[in-house]
Amino acid sequence: MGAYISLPTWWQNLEQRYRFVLGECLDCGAYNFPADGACSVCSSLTTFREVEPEGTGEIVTKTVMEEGAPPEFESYLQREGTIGVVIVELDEGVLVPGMLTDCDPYAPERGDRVERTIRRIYEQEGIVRYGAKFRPVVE
Amino acid sequence: MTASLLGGGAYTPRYRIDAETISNATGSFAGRGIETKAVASADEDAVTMGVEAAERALADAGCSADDVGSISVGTTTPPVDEGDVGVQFAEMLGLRGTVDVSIHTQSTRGGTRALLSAVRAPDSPGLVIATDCPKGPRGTAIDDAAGAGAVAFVVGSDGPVTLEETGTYAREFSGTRFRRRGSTVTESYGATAYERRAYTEVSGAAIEAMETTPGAIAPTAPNGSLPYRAAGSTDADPAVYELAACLGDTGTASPFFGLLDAWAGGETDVLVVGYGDGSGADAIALQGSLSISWERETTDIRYAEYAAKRARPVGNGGDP
Repeated sequence: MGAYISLPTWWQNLEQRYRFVLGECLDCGAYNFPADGACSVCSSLTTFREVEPEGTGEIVTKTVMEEGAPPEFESYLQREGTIGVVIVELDEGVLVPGMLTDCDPYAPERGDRVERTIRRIYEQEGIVRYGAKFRPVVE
Repeated sequence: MTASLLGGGAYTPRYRIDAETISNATGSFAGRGIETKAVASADEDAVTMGVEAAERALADAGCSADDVGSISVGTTTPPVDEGDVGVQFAEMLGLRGTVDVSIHTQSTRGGTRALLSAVRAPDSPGLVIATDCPKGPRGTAIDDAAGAGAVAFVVGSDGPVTLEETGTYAREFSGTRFRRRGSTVTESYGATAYERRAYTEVSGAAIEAMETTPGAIAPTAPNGSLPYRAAGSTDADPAVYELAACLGDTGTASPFFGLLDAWAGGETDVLVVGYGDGSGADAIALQGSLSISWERETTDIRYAEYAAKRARPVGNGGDP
């Protein structure tokens, strides 16, 4: 059973879904993702200033799914065979989740550099949900 | 003010399949002049490829998303029949809400239409994106030739490539290449001589409408053979540039891939000829050059992988 996200809910965070737009705490300067609620560092209930990150970072942890994907990802899994899922520490210091793309998902390892790109995440009710994925940085 | 190209970028998907692999699996390959082609992954479409090219073009031009005054997208393969895909590009790229958005579809000359639209837009610089990943009914020339890729340019003033002259021509040739409403596959009536005539007559008339005689042309390349017929339609005998032979049919992006190849070959006076069935053509004379690579790390795939990426798993019979 997947976690259904309604389109209006999805739409509320488009900048985060497309480009990982961060919130800079006006009290302590820490970057937050998502920029919601209290600051994750100083617990201040201040508002956040939007910051566009570079979109680059390092893999903190990775897993590769070969079966058992949530239903909205089943079509992708059938067509590509695997889904690489990573937690990435962006260069701005925040942790963000994402899928791997444009690579053999078994190849990248913890500590490898990755960059953000845009891909189809899944299609539901006739609507394509786009979002950020990560691929290895080619030096 | 002379319009010019300030920078550009190209994107092709990672995966490649060659004609021989398809021919060995299916018994035939009907994509004339195609040796290898690019194959989009299951999470790619005209939107994602176009965004990739656009981000590279903005970086190449040293232009920030906040600066962009207009965005013009040309594609025959938007993911939806209705619903403004151009706005999705603008949002994904982080452009201002006041950006002038236009989309040019239904014709493979959508790429040159998008370029002309950016040149004519009131706010500069303009972002031009040509992106396509066509499909045809299985086993047809259109499907065997179908590739994938995107090219983007930033248009403004005082750039290294100037737009010298434009010409256009239109005449009805229905059925040479079309996609029915609600369908994901592009078809043709199948009368070869009629289709060749449409391509050569309309492309040739757009070229003839120009005052200057081209030394090099970069025509729309539905395959690796037709572009050379565009050259034959003029007396000038220009050098012909196309990348369909190694990328497949990239639709609206194909004349721009030819342009990149011409620049890589040292050409500085290139006539881009955008042709779209129906039929209409634009000729755009450009002087100067940019250095834009379309090379990338690639992975060769087997036929079964190719079929699956194109949502035609072999085990399911593979239709449509």
